[in-house]
Amino acid sequence: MVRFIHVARAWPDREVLVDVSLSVDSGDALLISGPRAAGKSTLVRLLLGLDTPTHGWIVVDDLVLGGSTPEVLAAHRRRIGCIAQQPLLVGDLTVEQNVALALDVSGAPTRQAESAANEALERAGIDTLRGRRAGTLSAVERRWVGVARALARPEASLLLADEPTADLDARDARRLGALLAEERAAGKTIVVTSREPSLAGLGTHRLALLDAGRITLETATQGRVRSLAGRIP
Amino acid sequence: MASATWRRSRGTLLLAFAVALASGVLVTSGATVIARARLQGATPLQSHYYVVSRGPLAEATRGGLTAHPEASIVAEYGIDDLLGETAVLRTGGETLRVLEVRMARREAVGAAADVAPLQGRDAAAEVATLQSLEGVVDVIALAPPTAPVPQTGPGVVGGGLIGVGCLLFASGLVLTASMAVRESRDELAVRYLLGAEPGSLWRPLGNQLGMFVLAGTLGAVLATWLGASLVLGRGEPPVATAGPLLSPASRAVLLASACAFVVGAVASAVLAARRAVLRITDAPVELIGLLVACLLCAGSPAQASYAVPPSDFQLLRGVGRELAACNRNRIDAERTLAATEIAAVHAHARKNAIRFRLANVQRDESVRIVENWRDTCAALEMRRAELRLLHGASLFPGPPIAPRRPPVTGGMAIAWGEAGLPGRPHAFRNGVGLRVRPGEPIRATAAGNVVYAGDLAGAGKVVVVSHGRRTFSVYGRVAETLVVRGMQVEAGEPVADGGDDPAVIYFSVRQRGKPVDPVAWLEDDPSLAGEG
Repeated sequence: MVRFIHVARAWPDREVLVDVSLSVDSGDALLISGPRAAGKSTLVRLLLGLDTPTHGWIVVDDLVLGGSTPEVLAAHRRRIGCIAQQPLLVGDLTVEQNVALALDVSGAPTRQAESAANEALERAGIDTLRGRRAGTLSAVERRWVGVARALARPEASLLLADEPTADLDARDARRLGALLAEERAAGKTIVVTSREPSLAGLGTHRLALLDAGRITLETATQGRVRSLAGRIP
Repeated sequence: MASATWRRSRGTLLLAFAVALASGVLVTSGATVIARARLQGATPLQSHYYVVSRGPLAEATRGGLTAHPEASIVAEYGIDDLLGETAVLRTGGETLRVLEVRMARREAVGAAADVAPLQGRDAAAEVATLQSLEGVVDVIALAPPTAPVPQTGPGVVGGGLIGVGCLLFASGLVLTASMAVRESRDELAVRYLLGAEPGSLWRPLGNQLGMFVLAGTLGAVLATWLGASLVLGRGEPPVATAGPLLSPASRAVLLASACAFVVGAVASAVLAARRAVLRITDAPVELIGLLVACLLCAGSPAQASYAVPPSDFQLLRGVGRELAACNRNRIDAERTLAATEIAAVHAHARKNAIRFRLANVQRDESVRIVENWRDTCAALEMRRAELRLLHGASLFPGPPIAPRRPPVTGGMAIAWGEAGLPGRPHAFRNGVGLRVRPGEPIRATAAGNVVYAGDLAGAGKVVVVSHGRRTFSVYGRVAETLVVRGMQVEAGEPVADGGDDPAVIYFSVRQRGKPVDPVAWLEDDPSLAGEG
């Protein structure tokens, strides 16, 4: 469960988010859509605990972010599978080791981490890249490694994807949507930010349109979204 | 992960090592230059002696000198260091040691008396005192040094070297640390994003820095040795070190920082190793228990094998090895003796009394050592000959093979070594061809046990009789075998039939797996020898 309650974030020269209130229940999916510089990535940063709101509260499950200790924030991040806009990988490690890092930081035994990593690589369809060094991968391959790393955490309750389809073609985007739908079926809460107002394969989800830091529309059904697509700048 | 860390860090590791090495060489060289200049310029306040001690007893001599209230050891050399021209040779750990000893004056001394040599009874009494110590071979009084000459050059050079070394070290430290942080930056960021515990977040960087410290320590240790070797010439005793340059407080600080450096490196390595162990198994305690159990189990058979008395052959092999080592030591000792004699000649030619006397002492000692090794080698030679006899007996168990008789009465058709020559079939190699009269049986050449009777590819029907002592006789190309495997036969008992036509049979004798001349073997009959 994720709640944004009257959240605002302001820089000295401008306001990035203005009174944003959003809500998504456990096992549900939320797609936050909007043009460039609408404040989508700021929402993701706030949700990860990398930034704190100027006003308002963010609640994830039973935790209110903001003012938490580093230990609590670290534990919060360990419960999130995050597909970043530009996945950060360790170039000297292999793909498998990069994915296994997701469990390694939780103190999981090496064998368990490796088996979970292999399973995630197979699900993401990149098990052939297992032994390659991350520094030699293309942008699309890096994107899929980021996806596999997010999938590798079985205990995560929230899956966060920031512009996950930015450099994917339609077929890959559909495959990614299906993967997210599978995770959702497993009981995880899905939060996706995207410039596109829909994500093929994701199934029924809530939609929030964000423009210049404000929520302009919040709706619940996929069909409704399609008819509103023309309103998005 | 480890290979990735190595791949990522090898450049920085090498840089850390090189920086520590270079700066260490510079600082050590500078300090050594200054220290040597100070030592050379120092005014001697006491009389000096070379106390020559036998290698194995040098510890006792050192102890005696330390206990002596007026004596202090200035330096210690191997005699090869002082004799200069000779190469450093081994003499089985019995190399003479030379202790440079400073004796304090007993009477009150004035400024003028400081540089005057000890005269008369005082010097003799001191020599006698030193002679009485355990292990002392000889005591040589050193001539008083010349008046000190003030030197400013080495001070400037040494100071410059130290300054450059420190500057290099500081800049290298900053560069290495920043490189390490830059190399770990990605991993740190990923770990932070993935929610690593704040306490464990810096561990990869800590491990990496620990490795750099280890590399730096290695470089510094190597540098100290290199610096001393560079500044001090070959053969010059390593007396001039940075020690006298530093005040006691500076020395304590240096020692403390060196200890902290080493402890930090070791602790970091231990942490990294512990982490590696924990990653391999979640039950390190069980693993360690298993290892201990394995060691204990492995120890018992090892002890049991020691309890079994060694065979003659094992003893013989052991003695052979000892003898080889002994001979090597003897040759080394003889070389040292020769080198010392050459050194004595050189010293005599240059009229260097102290060196001449040292060389003489060393020569006497070398003669003693050479004789010792020669005696040991001779004793071992005797022991080896004795064991060879015993070993030979254990190789040939059983009674001697006698009597021996020819298997047939016909003459020699193909003699030993003729097989394969023109007109002689190759099939008779390793044996002889004997003519058989029609109807004559082939008899066992000596008593024994039939180990084979039957067809053999290329040799027709064959009978093989074992006579013990790893000796076999072979009868081939016979018409019919008259025995079966396992039968006991006496000398002269028929074992095969030659057939109704005149024929040539194959006869061969094998000892310890090798064919021997059957005629010579028959003639070597022990029973005949007894009669003769």
